[in-house]
Amino acid sequence: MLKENITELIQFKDLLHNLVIRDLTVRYKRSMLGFFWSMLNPLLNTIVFTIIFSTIFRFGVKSFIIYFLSGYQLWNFFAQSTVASSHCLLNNGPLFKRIYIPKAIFVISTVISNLFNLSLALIPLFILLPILGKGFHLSLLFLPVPLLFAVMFTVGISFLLSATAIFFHDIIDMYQIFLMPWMYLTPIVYPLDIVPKKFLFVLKLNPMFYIVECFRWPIFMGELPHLETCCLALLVATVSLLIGYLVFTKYADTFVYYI
Amino acid sequence: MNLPIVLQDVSVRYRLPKERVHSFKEFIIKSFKGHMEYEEFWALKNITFQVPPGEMLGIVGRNGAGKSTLLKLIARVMKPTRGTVRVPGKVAPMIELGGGFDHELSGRENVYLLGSILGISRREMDKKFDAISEFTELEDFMETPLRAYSSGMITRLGFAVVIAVDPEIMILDEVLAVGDTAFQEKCHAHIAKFRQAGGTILFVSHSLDQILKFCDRALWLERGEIRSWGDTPGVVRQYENFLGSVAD
Ligand SMILES: Nc1ncnc2c1ncn2[C@@H]1O[C@H](COP(=O)(O)OP(=O)(O)OP(=O)(O)O)[C@@H](O)[C@H]1O
Ligand SMILES: [Mg+2]
Repeated sequence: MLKENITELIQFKDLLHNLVIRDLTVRYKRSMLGFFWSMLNPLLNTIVFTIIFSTIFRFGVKSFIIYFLSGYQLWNFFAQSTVASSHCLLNNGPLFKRIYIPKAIFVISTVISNLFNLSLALIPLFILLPILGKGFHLSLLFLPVPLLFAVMFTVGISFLLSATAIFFHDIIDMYQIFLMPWMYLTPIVYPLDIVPKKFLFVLKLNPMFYIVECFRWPIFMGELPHLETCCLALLVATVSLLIGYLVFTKYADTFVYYI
Repeated sequence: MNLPIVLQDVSVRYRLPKERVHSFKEFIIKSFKGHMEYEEFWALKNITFQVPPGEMLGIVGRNGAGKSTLLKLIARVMKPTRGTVRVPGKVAPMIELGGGFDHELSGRENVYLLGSILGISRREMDKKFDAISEFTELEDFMETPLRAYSSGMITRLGFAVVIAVDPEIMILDEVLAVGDTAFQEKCHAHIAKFRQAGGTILFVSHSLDQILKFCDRALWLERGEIRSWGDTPGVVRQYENFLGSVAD
């Protein structure tokens, strides 16, 4: 089953390529601004958040910017991929209603093009790293691993959302509302040590907590993340991917009935 | 490829929540109350027929009879609720054409996009592109975004890409009606060539003249059931009589 699905995806790799290109052209080609926007937007956000939070939390401004950006950009990748995925099947319904296409390809292409956006969005962070005195550490070489966890987790949630949205359109809105508190339950704008001990467990129930920590640690601390954090990140990523994949493939053949 | 297309006892059921709620909130509320009402609609009922290789089958029937649904089964777009569908060979579907296109992209980009949807790789498409653009006679519009095309032009583009796939089975759902006469002639010529090479065609049209002119056999669908299947003139005559009786 899995093998069949993968061979099918390979067979449709040109389509995957074209869908990613289409996403990116719609985003960047029509305006050069789109290209800069993807870097500018987080920078503007950073300035706002820095002004607000670095004073509240008595964070050094320099540290705060790195701390914030390394978590926020990864969160943005997750949030934007999943939101876009939640309507990708509905948007492409007119297409796969007429021609056979493996549906997973729409979700995967959405995540890939957002991965491209993430790599652009990380450029300012890496430029700021030496400027703000953090410097480059060997630990940065570890980043592909937490990135892989983030992709797995994101693909899983995207599978789940896109399939559910076919049957219940309002899931899309509900999810977007839900994302806001979710972001604040992930230590992105505040440091972990301001969280009172007795509330810490709430954060630890949040799967994104481990993935963000895993990604930020090598950048912010300049060393490898704790083994325990890594294992838990791998665990939540795998569980998400597995559940998402199983649900998606179970219902994939029926999507066209509801479009 | 010399196996027939076989549909065995095929049924398709669309299942809609009453008044098409599509809402998770409603779903939860209704599930708690314990009555989720579905409207069941059988778009096809116990359909059995075969199409031998090299044959052209015409499908007629009134709006909503289930013709497009039937073609979707053969194009692998849908799996039937019951029964089996066997389609040996590469299928090129043209079901309500134009759906495979993105209106923001140029003609050229759309040719590559639709090509990849139909399984033509970029490299293959590089080779085929000139022939496609020549067939459409839209060479001057290839860099224009599709939103600036007329609907006839879009149909041309779609037809040209689909025939470039080199299919063994072609599915034509009301596509020949849109182009102008000159383009229609061109399509007819291509269809004749395709059939000489042994290709199979399923053809849906509301133009009974076209059905009579091209098809070896015809199938009449009415409310999801086969009313008649056999030699074209006979089926078309029955269907015409029926249309006459409905109109009265
Ligand atoms: N996605 C869907 N959900 C629910 N019902 C559907 C869906 N698609 C089609 N139907 C129903 O199935 C029936 C058959 O539709 P179909 O499109 O196959 O008709 P058709 O014979 O192609 O008609 P036309 O000549 O107008 O193209 C129709 O009554 C239609 O309302
Ligand atoms: Mg139809």
